[in-house]
Amino acid sequence: MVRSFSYLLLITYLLLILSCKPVYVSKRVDSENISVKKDTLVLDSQLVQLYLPYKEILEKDMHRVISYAEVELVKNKPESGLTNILADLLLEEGEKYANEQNLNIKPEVSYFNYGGIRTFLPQGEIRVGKIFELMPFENEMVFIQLSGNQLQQFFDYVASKGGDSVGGAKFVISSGKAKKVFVGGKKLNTDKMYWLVTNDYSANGGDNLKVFTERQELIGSSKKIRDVIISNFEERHKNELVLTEKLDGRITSE
Amino acid sequence: MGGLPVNRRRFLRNGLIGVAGLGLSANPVSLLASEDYITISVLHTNDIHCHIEPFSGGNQYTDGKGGLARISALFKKFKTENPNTLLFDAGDMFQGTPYYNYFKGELMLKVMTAAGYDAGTIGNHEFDDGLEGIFNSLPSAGFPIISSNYDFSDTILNKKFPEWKIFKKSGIKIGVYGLGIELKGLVGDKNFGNTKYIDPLQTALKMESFLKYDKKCDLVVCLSHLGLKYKSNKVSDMVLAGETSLTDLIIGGHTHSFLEEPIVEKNKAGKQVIVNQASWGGMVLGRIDFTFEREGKNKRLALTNNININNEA
Repeated sequence: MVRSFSYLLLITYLLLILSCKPVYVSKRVDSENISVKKDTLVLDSQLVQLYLPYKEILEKDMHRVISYAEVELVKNKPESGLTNILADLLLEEGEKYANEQNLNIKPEVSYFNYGGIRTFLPQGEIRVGKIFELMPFENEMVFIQLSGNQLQQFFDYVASKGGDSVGGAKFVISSGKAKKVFVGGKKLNTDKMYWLVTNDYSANGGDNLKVFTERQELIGSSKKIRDVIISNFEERHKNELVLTEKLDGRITSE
Repeated sequence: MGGLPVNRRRFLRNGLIGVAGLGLSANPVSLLASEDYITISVLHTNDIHCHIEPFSGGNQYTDGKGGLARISALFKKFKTENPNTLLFDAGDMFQGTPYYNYFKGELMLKVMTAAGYDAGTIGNHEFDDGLEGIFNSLPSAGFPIISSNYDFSDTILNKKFPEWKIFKKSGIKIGVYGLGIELKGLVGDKNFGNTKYIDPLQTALKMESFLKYDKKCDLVVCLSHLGLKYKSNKVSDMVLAGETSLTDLIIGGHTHSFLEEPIVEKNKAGKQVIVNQASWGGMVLGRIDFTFEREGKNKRLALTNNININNEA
């Protein structure tokens, strides 16, 4: 009896559905942003199965320890332990490369764009994988030649951003401009030509760094920035040098 | 649904009828029990940046959070509870972990497909290995990547991306369009080649009208990689929200914005539009549930997105 009544209901319902196209009216909206945390839910095992073979290939290479950081190194403006260490190693490696290749140039300034630094370096062991996170891009080390005036414009660009990852120079940010600029310990000479080492993204005007596209000359290196960092860190590690936080007031705000 | 981790819920409802008056519980899934109500649940992520696994590495703020493996589990759980659940992504799927450097976009799109994504859009980092990088990874995408304002007709990516897509869930039509950011200055010239950038706002106006009036969609969703908001007058999701009048939801990306809760804005017609972004790396899953009431008669009522904010949650 109850069942036949249910059937009747079902048939009526089906007839209703078939007889007219239902029209829906928006009644309400509920919304939330859910934090995806450890306690949220376990991992989807089906997905884990899918990436596990890839993970194994990666891990073999990624777990190699290449350095040791005395303290956590994070990026910050106007300067920070991380932005300074990266700019300084780029200047060092750039000079080394220029010598090896007999380029007859000596980079005096380095620039490692802030936005391209994608993570921090934790205190303790630094592994290859961390450098991939820090510098995921396939950017290449390049040298560009700028006039003294253009170099000043570049420092003004950095000043307008409140600081950045710059090596070989020292200046004060005052009303959004770079003042009291020193390069290699000497006052910036607007009549002089300077070589700067950076990545191809910035050299091509990335992040609206227009002055780099107006450069006098560009020399490529076919060396990836990431590989430059890895080899620099490995070299230090071999010599038992740890990564330290070096804040030297190269960029200060007035 | 009682055991779900919930930051904070905000209830938005039609101004005409209060929730209490409808005698509904605060649980939209329970509405499904009644044939009179249908809830379309839109879940979304952005800027996953190849974070397939949860974050690790010793940062107290990010460790253990995010990752597609967890997003996927969450999505499947929600979908079991309500089959009318969709999962969208607002771009920058590529680049960010060694998974990308070793296996490029192919692995990422394969994993996103397995996670069950319904659609995505193009972020600037999708261009990191040039047009060829995108081209090579596309066979792994089992979901449409919607792009309405990049003209690829003069590139190898010609006809690879739909301009819009309509999803049908229990009779409800959800129209989706996708907006990308201006590539010049952000992406190396050679990486985007002859891709033409079309004004996002004009595109949005064209798309929303097309989806709403020509295609009779009940919901219009924009997947945007424009960024939430800028100090300058650069086009952004907030600009879009104020200048469009038929888009119900703008799912954003690019600025990695963490929002405590979705933003409700007034659109050009004075009606409300939701703007949301879900941090990055899968650390947040945005969820917007649209509940529709079935009207018995044949008369078609104009759908309204006239939603009043109610903070009583």
